Parts: sequence; C-alpha cells; structure tokens
Amino acid sequence: MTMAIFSSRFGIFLVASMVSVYTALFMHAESEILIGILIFLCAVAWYLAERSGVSRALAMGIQENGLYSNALFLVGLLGIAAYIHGDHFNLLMLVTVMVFVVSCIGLNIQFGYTGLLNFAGAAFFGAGGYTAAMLTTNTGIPHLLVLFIGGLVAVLIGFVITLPVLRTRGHYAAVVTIAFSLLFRTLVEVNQALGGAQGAPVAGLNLFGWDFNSNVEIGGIEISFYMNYFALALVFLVAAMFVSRAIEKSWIGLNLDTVRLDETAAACFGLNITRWKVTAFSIGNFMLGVMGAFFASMLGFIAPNNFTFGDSLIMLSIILLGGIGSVPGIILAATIVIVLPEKLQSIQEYRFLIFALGVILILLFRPNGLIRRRTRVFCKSSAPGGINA
Amino acid sequence: MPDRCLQATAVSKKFDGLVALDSVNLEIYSREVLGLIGPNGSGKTTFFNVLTGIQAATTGKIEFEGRDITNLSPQRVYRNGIARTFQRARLCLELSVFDNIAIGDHLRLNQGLWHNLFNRTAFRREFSQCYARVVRLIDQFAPHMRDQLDKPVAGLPMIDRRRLEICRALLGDPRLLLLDEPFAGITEEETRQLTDVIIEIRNQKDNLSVIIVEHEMGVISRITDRCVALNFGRKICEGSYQEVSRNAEVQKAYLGGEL
Repeated sequence: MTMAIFSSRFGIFLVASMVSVYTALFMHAESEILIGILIFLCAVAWYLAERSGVSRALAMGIQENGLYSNALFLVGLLGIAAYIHGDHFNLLMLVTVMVFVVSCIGLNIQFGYTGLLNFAGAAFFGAGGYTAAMLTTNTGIPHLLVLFIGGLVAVLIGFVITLPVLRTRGHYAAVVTIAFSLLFRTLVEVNQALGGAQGAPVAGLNLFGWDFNSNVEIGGIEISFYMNYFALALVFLVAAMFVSRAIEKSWIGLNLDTVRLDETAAACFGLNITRWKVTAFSIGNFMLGVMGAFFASMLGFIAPNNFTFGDSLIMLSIILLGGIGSVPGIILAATIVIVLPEKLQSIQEYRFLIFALGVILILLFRPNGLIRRRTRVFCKSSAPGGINA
Repeated sequence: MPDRCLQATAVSKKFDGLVALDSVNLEIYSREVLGLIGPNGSGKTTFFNVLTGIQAATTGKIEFEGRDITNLSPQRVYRNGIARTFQRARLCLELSVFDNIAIGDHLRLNQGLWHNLFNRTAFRREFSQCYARVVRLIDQFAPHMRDQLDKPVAGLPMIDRRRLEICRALLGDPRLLLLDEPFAGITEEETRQLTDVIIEIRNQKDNLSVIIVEHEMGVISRITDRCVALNFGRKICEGSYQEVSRNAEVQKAYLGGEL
C-alpha cells in the first residue's frame, strides 16, 4: 500500500523536513498576505493528510520509531534556529515557544495525566520569575542554581496552597488554584519589595562565565545573543520531553492515569492517591517555576501583567487544543498560539477571542485535540507476539 | 472445623435514617465460595463497601485472618489480601487491557521515582516479569484476549470487562476475592462462561476464598458452597443453596407479600 511509506523512517524523515522548511519559511515571512497564504496551505495539507489516511499512517510510524522521531524533531529545531540565527525577534519567538512547550508539558503531567486542573500555571511560572529577579539582583548565587531555586519555590508554594485540598476528591484543588492565580497578581502589585506594579529587573544569565547577553561571532557570522538562550532552552526541552515520556511509559504514568480515571478503583488496589497527586503536581510546578525563572532572565524584566489569570488559561488552552496528554499536540498548539498573533498583527487584539473560539471548536468537533494521545505501550516487547513469556 | 478466613460481627451501617446494614454477622471459611444474595437494596454492595473500606461501618467489627480490619482504608484492606470487582465494572476505558490488569500488581512493583524514570534497564526487567504474570492470568481466564492486550478497554463487551476485572483482582494473589454482581448485564450463555471461569479459579487457587454478591438466585447454585441471604440490611437466612432457596422468608423477600 502506498500509505505504508509514511509509516517508514524515510516517510517520517520526509514529512519532518517539510514541516521544518515550512516553519522556517513561516518565521521568516513578513507580509501578512504571504502569511495568510502559508496558513491556508497548511490547512489544506492538514485536511488532505487526514482524508487520505496519511496522518494515521504517520502517527503509527512515529509511535513505532519514537526515539528516531524525537531526534528528527530536535534536528529540525536546530535547523530552524540556524536559519534565523541573526534575527533577534524570531529567535526570541522561537525560544518563547520552547518555554511554553516545557511549561505546558509540566501542566500536562498535572492535568493530562493526573486530571488535576491547575488554573495558576502563569502564577507558578511567575513565582519562578520573581525568584530569579530577587536572587540575581540581590545575591551572588550562581545562575544555574537560581533557575533550580525558581522551580523549588514554585513547588513549595504549590505545596502550601494545595496540600490541604489535594486530599479531597473532585475539583477543590482547581478552585484553590483559581484563587491563587487571581491573588498572585495583586500580591506582587502591592509588594514594593518585588517591584510593585512597575515590575522588577532581572539580570541576564551568566553560566560559568558564559555571558548569555552578548552576541556571538563565529567565522565572521554574527549570531544573535538569543542563540545562547536557545541552547539552554533546548536542554530544558529535551529534559522535559524525556521526563514526560519516562513518566508515561512507567508505573508512575499508569498510577497517574488510574488516579485520574477512577479514584475508587485505584484506592482498592492500594494506590496512595494523595502521594500521586502531590508527585504530579510538584513535578509540573517545578517545570513551570524553572521556565519562569529562565524566561524572566531572558527578557531582563518582569511585571505582574505577564502572569495573569488569562495567561494561565492560555497555557491550559494549549493543552486542550493540542490534545490532552499529548506532548506532540502541545508542541503544535504552543507554536500556533505563540507565533500566530505575533505574525498576524491584525489579529493581535482579538487573540483571546480567537483562541477561545478555537478551544470551543476543538472540544465540539475534535475532543481529543489536534494530535490525540496514543494508548500507552510500555515497551516494544508488550506488542502482541513480542515477548513470549 | 476449617479455618475462619473472615468474620464480621454485628456490622451495621446507617445513612442518616436509613439502615443499610443491621448488625450483620457473617463468617467465611478458607477455600469456601459464599453466595451473598438478596433483592435489590438489601445491603449486599454496602457490605462489600464496608468490608473494603470504601465506607466506614457505623458499628461492628470485621476480622480477617485474625486481624482487625474494621474501617481500615481501602489501601490497607487490599494490603491485607482482599481484592474485589465492582458492580459496574470499574475499568479505565481509555487505557489498554494490559494497563487495566497491571494496576492490580501495584504493591509488588517498585514505585520509586528514580527506578521508574531513570533506571530503565531495571524497569524493563520488572516490566517483563509483570507482563508474564498478566499473560499467565489472561491465558487462564480470558485466552481469547491474548492478542488484545494493547487495545483500549472501551471497545470490549461486558463479559470481557468482567473477566478483566477478575484478572486484575487476582494479579495481587489475594486470599479473599469479592465479586460484586459479576453476572449483571450479561447474557445467559455468557453467564455460563463466567461461571466456568469462577469454577476454574476455585480449582487453580488453593488459598482463596470467594464471596459472590448476586441478586438472582439461580445463577449461583452451581458455584457456591454456602449462601447467606440479606433483606433490608438484615441476615434472614444462611445455609446451603437448597436450604436458602427453599426458605420461606427468602421467597417472601423475593416475591413480596404472602406466597
């Protein structure tokens, strides 16, 4: 069958190259007409791929060649970064997408796997950011450690506010996160030590003498200083994807899924529900906090306005659009949600409206999201006829 | 006299004004299959829920193998060796057949974060052991599902879901198995198949007692050693299947009014 080629490594390679080239072109494009044409082309290609069964064949191939596909993804990402190496604006946008992907992978461990709705994603992100602001301007703690502490602070806050309610059933924890999300902004706005409504400066990263805020020149080619941040973001992205995948393909993932789908049954088979909820919540918040600290360092400045309830909703809508529990879905949706309004200035003002509409349409017509999560297969050996016990 | 496996003494459960269980005394011996029968709403499932810690008993005492397990958490009850199935098969529909059974191995598997996330070689070794245990159970009690281990449960018929629930409950090698209306919602032919499965479990496991909750009486005549009948939360009769089914009070409970 001709479709089989899309399940092969060659087919995956072909599609990955096309997607990379497309993304690079899209980032490079300036005029709104060209961008409109590119979006239209993408929609047509997506539709045809769905209709003809190409996307299904591709999904099967990707599931069978997981590591290979992930490697291709990274190569593609490096290619795109290399293509836009001198372009501050686009490189910043690329790193922003990566920051959101890692943050949403964290949220996804909470929401997608464990069913814990966290409406304070941006607040935990901000907690990391403010930690970075305070520590880089007031102390001499090494910056790598600062990022780590940013994560720990988010975990600690999450611990304090939800520990009393994580023991209960239902959505009490979600309600508490809504309250925290709304409070967080007010809290930093009135707190002059944190810079108040004006915000606070954050020092650019400097790891072991490697100054992130200076442009690099290699062989006469001027490279934007954002490339430094890209490199570090890539490390975080790989780590987050690794952890997420490892969780999913382990007993932890099975526990989290069972807690989400049926707490009573889970309890009757010995699962400590609170333990798994706290574990998932903490891992997610850690990722959010580290990313917040990293993002704040990159921007050099943070203000309460960046961490509103609306931003938390954007993060959740990325997960809903992409497909609950699906990391490839998050990557796609984060790209759309971040890049589109930047590129199409004319929709900038209506972006919340458009995303809300997008989420509603997805929930109505494609409830599993753009790229749905696959049924878990632990190891290749668990495929039928794999190992014969 | 064989060993007592489980002994419930004067167990009561009140929901505000409603008395769901009214000082029920019940005992089950090792290797016995006990039928717990009674019309709808007679307190059978409540008894299971109290036994497994899902609901707390208002008064009374439950001992399992000589240990007091009254009002322990579901987790602790399971740890003591009691596993159950549910009236409305509580399986995770999105997850695969394997996943649904494997959760029954929870206590045996290493749940450490380091082991699971970073020590993949050790994890894979453990996984294949678990996989082998699951396959052994499937081969015994649901051989036709051997090729469907990776399929989501959502597409399976009720009879297969019941088989899965039984496999899940047996995976942790319990010493008491509670089956909550296993025959609800399946056809007569399927009932026969499931009865065979339960007889098979009996023959294979030499350290297992079983309590079956059922409201239709006929289906359990083949498999029970002894029956207990409940009505309005009270034990009204106890004895062999023949004795219980001929008991006047039981017939009255089922048919209502005078006979």
